[in-house]
Amino acid sequence: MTYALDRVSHGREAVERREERIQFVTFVLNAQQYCIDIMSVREIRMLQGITSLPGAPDYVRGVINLRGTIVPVCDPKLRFGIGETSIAPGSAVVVVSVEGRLNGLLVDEVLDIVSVTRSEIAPVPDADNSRRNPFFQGLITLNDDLLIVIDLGRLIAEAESELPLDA
Amino acid sequence: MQQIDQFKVTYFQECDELLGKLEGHLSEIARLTGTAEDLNAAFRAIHSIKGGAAMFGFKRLVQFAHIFESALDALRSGRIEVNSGLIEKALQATDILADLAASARTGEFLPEEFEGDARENLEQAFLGVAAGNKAQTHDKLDIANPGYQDQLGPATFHIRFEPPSDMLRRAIDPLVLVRNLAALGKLETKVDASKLPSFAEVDPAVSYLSWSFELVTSAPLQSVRDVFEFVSDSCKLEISVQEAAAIDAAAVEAAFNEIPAAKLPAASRPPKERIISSIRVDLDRVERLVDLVGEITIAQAMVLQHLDQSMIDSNSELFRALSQLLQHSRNLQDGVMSIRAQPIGSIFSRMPRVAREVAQQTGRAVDIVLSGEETEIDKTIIEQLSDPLVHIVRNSIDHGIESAEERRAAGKNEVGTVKLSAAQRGGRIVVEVSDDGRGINRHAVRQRAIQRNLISSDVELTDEEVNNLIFSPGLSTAQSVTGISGRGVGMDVVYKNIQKLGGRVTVLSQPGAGTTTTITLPLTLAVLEGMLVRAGCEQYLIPLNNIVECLVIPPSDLKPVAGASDMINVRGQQIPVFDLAQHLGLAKAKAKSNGRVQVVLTELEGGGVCGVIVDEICGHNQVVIKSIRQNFRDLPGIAGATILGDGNVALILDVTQMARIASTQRTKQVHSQRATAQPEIQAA
Repeated sequence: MTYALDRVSHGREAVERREERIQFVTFVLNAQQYCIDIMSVREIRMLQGITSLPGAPDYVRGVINLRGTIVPVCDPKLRFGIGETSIAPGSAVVVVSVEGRLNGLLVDEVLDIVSVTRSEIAPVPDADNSRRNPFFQGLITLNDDLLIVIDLGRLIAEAESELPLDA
Repeated sequence: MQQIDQFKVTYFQECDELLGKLEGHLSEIARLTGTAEDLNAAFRAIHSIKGGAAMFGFKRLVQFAHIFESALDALRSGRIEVNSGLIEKALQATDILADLAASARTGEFLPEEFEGDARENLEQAFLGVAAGNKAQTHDKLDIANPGYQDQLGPATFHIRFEPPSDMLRRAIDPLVLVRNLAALGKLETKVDASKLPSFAEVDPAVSYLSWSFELVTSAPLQSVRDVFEFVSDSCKLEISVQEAAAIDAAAVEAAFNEIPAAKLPAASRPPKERIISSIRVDLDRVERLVDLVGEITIAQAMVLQHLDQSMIDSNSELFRALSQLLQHSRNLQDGVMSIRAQPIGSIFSRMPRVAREVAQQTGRAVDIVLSGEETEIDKTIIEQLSDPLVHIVRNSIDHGIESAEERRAAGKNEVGTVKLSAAQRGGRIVVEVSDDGRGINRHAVRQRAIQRNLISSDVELTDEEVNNLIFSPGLSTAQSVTGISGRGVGMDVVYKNIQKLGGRVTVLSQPGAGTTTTITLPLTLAVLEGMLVRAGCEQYLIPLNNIVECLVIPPSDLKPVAGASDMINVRGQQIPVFDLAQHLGLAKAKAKSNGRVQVVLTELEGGGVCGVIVDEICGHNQVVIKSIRQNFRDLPGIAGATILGDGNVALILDVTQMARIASTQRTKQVHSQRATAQPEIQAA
């Protein structure tokens, strides 16, 4: 699934595609709003018990029991390099499914579901390439709020291969 | 249409089973341990394959199966004698049959005369000889066995069939027989209902009828007899042929009932097969059941945790109900697990074949002896055990068993022996492959390992450690690389695969006397007994079958060793220990209340014992193993995870791997120290 803007194509189909509406689940990390495609969200739950995984990368905070399935929980803040989410009973976990694998994302607060058209998703400015965050897929401006669209595939995939990030 | 496809799927599944059985029975015969019953069973297997193939119109399969069947019948009726050459040909024919079946399944095209050679082989070896012998020994069988001279003119068969009264109870459907007969030619059927009692007295499960048939067909008598193959031992059957030569019906009858294969040892097993009623179930459904039972176990643990012990103690009704629940759910668990259990014989039966092939290629003479085939083990484990086992058997013959001259010179029986055995010991399955060959050449293994930089030349190794070097990647001592082994890939793969199954492989070898490879496996991959321990503020599970004992020692018993982990002295034996919390990088809980150290001694794969220092031993649990890999990936030192009674996740430790990580780090440190201190040894 890609939200890249189709700049060259034209005609009615392209317009329709751009007008197609997508729903996003929005949440907060350190007062900044982020969002992910609702189609990949399986459920939102409160954190109960978490078991740390020795030997796993540090942003994998541990594993939880999701009705009998072991699901790893990632901390996007550690992934983005913007601090660490404090874990307490009741912390919100967004469970997402990427390529058939379940992962939990620790967030500060789950906000809302928003619906936007593709044309409303702006690319992440890449004027300064070195600082561009590889996990950000696009930007949405909605009622004066800026929402960052997260590339879940990258967030999860790199979690598996444990690729070191280029700073 | 879809239903037909469904039938086809079932047929091919059966086909696979039948081919496996066929091979097994033929192998039994080849080793001269077979009985007449093996031959009969082999015959029936081919017959069933043929029958199904005819139903779906797989012509080539039918034709070849037919010739194969005739060939075995020649053996069965004793017209030709069993010898290894013939069985070899029969085994080759089995391969061709399997290929034809596979081609029918996939629709893949096989060259026109693919089965031609095998067919000629069969015809010459079995039927050609049969034709020669026939005239002298079995005059009266002329008409009884024309199965291979298919171009006979039409004949009229008069058949009288009187089934036993319990036919219906034995699930024999006369309609099927009639239909099969009708398929052969023009059939007229008369029913004799004279024995039918009055309606009020009729027992619907009893058969009162008998039949007489008049069949005009060009099919041989053999085919007509085949229709009654499965009922002939219990019914009254008379077949007479009206043809140019009138044949004494009694003679045919006598030939028909003649005890087959006089040359084979008399049946040691009861000739009638055990009646096994079975159903086919999709494995997914069983897996689902296994999962559910796992969930019940967890839910049950949760209930127990939330019940106050005093409440249970004061309420005897509750206590009784609870213990019943526990008992039943345990039985349920065992029951569900046993659905997935299969006798290991299903893979053992392939081994004689493998052994014979390798023996032929290498020019060795080998006997293979199987025992414990009935040992049951989880299906998922069985599937993954086959390849490693094949490999070990091949290795035993190629590397272990010497040539006949060498064996004679060593005063051994010229024919080598490879023994395969399986047994359940404790909570594990033990599979052993042992040969009486030359044993592992430890010197050569050591030299090769040094050559390959697997060990450095100055390391002292015990015999056991040298033996275990054969599991290292890239190590083979075979002088020349053959198609069978010597490429040095294999034993390391065997090791990895077995380890993946939660098993262990060890090798014992005595120079000149042989090698024994032992594989131990868990009974099931789904449930595990373990000891719950605490390290830091996390709980971990150590598999119970690894645990030797638990110790509580004063901290002063921990003896630090320079550049290595601490050691403790247990009854005179020095045992390395590591601190679990420290190893996992966990924050150490507050100083132990009583200042004593709790150590769990665990047995390591490949021998040796290691102590794990834990902060607390919490108890003994039976848990359901959950995969971490499903949503994440494997982690070193972690065998899996489970869900505890409180709903939290606990990790299951792989102590062997953990100890290995600890010790390789240690050895590396030692080596690097040594390298800097004495660089000349490293160079030598």
